[in-house]
Amino acid sequence: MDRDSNRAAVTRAGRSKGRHRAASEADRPSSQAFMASGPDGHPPANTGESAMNANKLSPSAQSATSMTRIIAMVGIAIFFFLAISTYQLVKSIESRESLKNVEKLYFPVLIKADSSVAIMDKVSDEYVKAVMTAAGEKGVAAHALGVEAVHNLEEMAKLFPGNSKDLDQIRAQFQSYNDEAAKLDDDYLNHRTVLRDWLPRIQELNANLAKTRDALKSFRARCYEEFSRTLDKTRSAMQSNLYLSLALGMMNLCFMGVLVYFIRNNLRMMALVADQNMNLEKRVAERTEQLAQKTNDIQTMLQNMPQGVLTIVAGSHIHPEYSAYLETIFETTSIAERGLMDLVFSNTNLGADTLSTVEVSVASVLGEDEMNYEFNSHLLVTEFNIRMEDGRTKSLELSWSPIVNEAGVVEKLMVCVRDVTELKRLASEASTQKRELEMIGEILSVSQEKFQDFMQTSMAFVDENRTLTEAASGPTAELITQLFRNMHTVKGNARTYGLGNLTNTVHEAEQTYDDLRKGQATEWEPKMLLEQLDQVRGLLDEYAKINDTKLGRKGPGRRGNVEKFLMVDKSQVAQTLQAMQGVDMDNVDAMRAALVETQKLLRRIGTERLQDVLAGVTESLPSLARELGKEPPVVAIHDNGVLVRTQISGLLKNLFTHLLRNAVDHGIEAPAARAAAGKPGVGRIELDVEIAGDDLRFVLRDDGQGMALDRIRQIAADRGLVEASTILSDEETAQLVFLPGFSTAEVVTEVSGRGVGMDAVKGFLEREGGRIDVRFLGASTGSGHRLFEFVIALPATFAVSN
Amino acid sequence: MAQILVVDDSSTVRDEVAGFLKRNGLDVATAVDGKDGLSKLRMDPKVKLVVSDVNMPNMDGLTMAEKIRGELGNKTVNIVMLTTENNPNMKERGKAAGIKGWIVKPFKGDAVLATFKKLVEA
Repeated sequence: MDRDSNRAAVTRAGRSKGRHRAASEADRPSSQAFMASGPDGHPPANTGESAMNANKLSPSAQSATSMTRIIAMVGIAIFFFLAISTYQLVKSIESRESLKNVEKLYFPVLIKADSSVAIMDKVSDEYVKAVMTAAGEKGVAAHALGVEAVHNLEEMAKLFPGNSKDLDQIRAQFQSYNDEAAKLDDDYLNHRTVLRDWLPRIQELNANLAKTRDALKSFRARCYEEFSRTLDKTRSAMQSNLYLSLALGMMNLCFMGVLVYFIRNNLRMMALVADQNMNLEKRVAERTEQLAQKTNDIQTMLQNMPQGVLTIVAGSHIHPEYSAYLETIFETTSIAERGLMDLVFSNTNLGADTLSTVEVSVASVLGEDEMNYEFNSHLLVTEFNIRMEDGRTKSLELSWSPIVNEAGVVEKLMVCVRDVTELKRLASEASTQKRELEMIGEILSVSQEKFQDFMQTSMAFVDENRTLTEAASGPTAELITQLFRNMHTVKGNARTYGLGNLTNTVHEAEQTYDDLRKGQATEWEPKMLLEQLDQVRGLLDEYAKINDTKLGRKGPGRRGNVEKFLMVDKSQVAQTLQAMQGVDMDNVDAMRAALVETQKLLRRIGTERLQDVLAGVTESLPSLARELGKEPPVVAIHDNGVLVRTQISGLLKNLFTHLLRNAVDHGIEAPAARAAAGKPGVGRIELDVEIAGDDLRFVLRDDGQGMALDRIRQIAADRGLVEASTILSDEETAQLVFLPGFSTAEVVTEVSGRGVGMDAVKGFLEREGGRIDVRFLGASTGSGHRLFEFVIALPATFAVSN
Repeated sequence: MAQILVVDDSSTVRDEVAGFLKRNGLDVATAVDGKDGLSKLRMDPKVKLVVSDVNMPNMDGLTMAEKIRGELGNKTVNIVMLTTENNPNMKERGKAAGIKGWIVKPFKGDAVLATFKKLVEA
C-alpha cells in the first residue's frame, strides 16, 4: 500500500511539478534579464525533489514511521525552500528600492549638483565679465543663473532631506553670494562703486564662493560615493541572487533528472507488473485447469468406484456430491439433498429406538466439536438389512468418518456404504463349513470306539429324557433330578471328549433342568423342554452323520493305534497286576500261576479280536447288499478265543474285504431267488477261526448259491487267461479267480482305502507263509454253481489263543 | 471435593454413570435435578465437569446450564449433556450456554472416559 501511495505521491508531484514548472519557466528570467525581475513564485522543484527523495526511501521503508520521516523531510525541504525564496525576494525588493533610489534620488541630485557647480563657476565668471565688459545684462543673466542654482540647491535639499542642513547652508551661502555679487555688479555698473572697491569685494566673494563650491563639490562627491556604493550593493545582491537562481536552476535540473529516472523506473515497474500480471493470469489459468482436471478425476472416481460414498451435511441431509454406486445400492437416483434417515434408514430391519438413536446421534455430532463424535460414534449403526421395493433384502454395511475442520468442528460426516449381501451369504456358508470342519476335528480326536459309545449313551439319555418328559404330568423332584442328571452326564462326556459344538446346547438344556431343580424357574413347560431335547438330539444326529458318512467311522472301530503303541485292555492289566501283587512270594505255585497270567497278558499285547479287525468290512456289507438289492447278510465270526496279531490285520482286512464282498456280490442271492430256493431272506456268512497245529486257520462259507464255475471259466476265456478249448476241473477252475487280471475291479472302501486284486492278496498271503484254498462242499450241482468254502491258513505265530 | 457432578433424575443412570467413572478413579458427586445440581455446584465450586440429563423435573438441564453461567457466574466448568433427542433449538440454547458436548443415550463408558479425564485435568 505504501508503494501505491508513494507512486501516487510521485505522480502527484510529477503532475504538480509539470504545472509549476510550466509557470516557473514562463516566469523565470534569462540570466541577463535578472535585473528586470527575479525568479518569482514557488519553484515547486523542491516539493518534487523532496517527494522524490522520499520516494527513494519509501520502497524500503514500509511503515508509518517512514511516512512521517518523509513528511518531515518534505517539510524541512519546503521550509528551506521558502526561506531561500523569501530571502531572494527580500533581496530583490531591496535592490529594486535601491535602484529606485538611484533613479529618483541620486541621479537628479548629482545632476543638479553638477549643474550647480557649473553654474557657480559660470556665475562668478559672468559677474566678472559683466564688470569687465560693462554689460549690465550679463550681470542680470548671471544673477538669474545664480537663482537657478539656488533653485537646484533648494530642490536638492528637498530631495535629500537628510543632508538638507548642509545644502541649506550652501544655498544660503551661494544665495548671499549671488545677491551680493549681483549687487556689486549693479553698483559698479551704475557707478555707485569704483573698481577699486569692487575688486577686492568681488575677490572676497569669489573666495567665499570657492569655499561654497568646494562644499558643494564635496557634497557631490559624498553623494556620488553613496550612489556608487548603492549601485555596488545592488549589483552584488543581484549577483548573489543570480547565483542562487542558477543553483536553484541546477537543482531543478537535477530533480528533473531524478524525476525522469523515477518515471522511467515507474514505467519499468509497471511493465514488470503487467508482465507479472500476465504471468499470474497464465498461472491462474493453469491452476484452474489443473483444478478442473482434478475435479474431473475425482468425479470420475466418484462415478466409478464400486462403493457407495456419501457425505452428510448440517441438517442431516445428503450432499449432492456422492459416488454413483450409491444409486445402484439404493436403486434410486433421488439421493442429493435427501435426508439421511429417509434414504438410508427407511425399510430396514432396525427397531424404532435404534433409528431414533442414530438420528439423534448424527444431529449431535454435526456442527459440534469433535469430542461429540467420540462420545456418540458407537451409536452409529454399522450394519443392517434393507428391503427393496420388490421385496428383496440387501445386507448393508456402513463406515462412518467425521470430517473435521481446523477449528476441530465436525463439518460433515462421511459414510461409506457397502452391499455385503453376497459376502454375508458366502460367510454363512463358510461358517457352516467351518463348523462342520470343527466338528470333524472334534470327532477325529476321539477314538472311533469311544465316540461310538458316547453317541450311543448320549442318544439314549436324550431319548430317555424325552420319554420321561412326555409321560410326566407335572414336575416332581425325582423327575427333575433324573432329567438333570442325564443331561449333566451327557454334558460331562461331551466336555471330556472336547465336542465344543455340542456342549453349549447341552449346557443350556442342563441349566433349564437346574433352574427347575433350584426352584428359580417355576414353569413346567413340556413343549419347551421337548424342543430343547430335540435340539440336543439334532446336534447328536449331526455328529453321528458326520462320523458315519463323512468319516466312514461307523462302528466301534479297531482298538487302538497300531503304529507306535500297543493297547491292552486296561482291566486285564489291572487284574494281572493285582494278581501279581497279591501273590504269595513264598508260594511257588502261586507265583507260577501269576507268571503264567502275566505271560498270557503279554502275549495278548499287540493282538486283536478278529471281529475288531474286520469291523470296517462287516459294517460296510449292509450298504453293499442294499445296493445290490439284497438283504444285509448276517456275518457270524467264531473266533474260539483266538486273537490275531496286529501285524497281519492289514492282510486279513484286504483278504476278507474281497472274500466277504464277493460273498455278498456273487454268493448271496437276491431275496426272490433265495425265497425260491427255500432259504431265509437274510443270507448268512460264517467265518471260523482256530489254531490247528502250526496253522492259524480261517474257514469262510456262505449260504448262497456257491461258486459260479461256468461263469469263471467264461471270464477266464474272455480275458485270455486260458484257452477256450481247455477243459478244466472244478478245482482248477476255482484257482482261476486268483489269477492276475482275472478281476480288474479294485475294491475301494472309505475305510480300508484301495484294495488290491485277489491275486495280490494271495501273493501277500503266500509271502507271509500262508495259503488259500477253495474247498468244495457237496457235489457239483449242474447249474454251474457249486457250494464251497475258502480255507485260509497262516502260520500260527500270527495268533495267540486267549 | 468432587471433580465431576452427574445430574440425572433416574437413579439407574446416576448409578451407572457415576459408578463407571468412580471405577476409573474419578471423584464423582451426583444430583437429582437442575435445582439440586445448582446447589451442589454452588457448594463445591471445584467441580471441573458437569454431566447432566436434559429432561428433569424442577429444573431441566439446559436451564441449569444457563443458570450456572449466569447466576452462579461459573464460566469455567465444562458442561456435557446426556440426551435422547437433539433438535436445532436445543443445540442453539446449548451453544449459548457454553455446553461442550452432547452424549446420546445409551452412555458408553469407553467412548467418554478419555475425554472426561482430559476435561477434568485441564
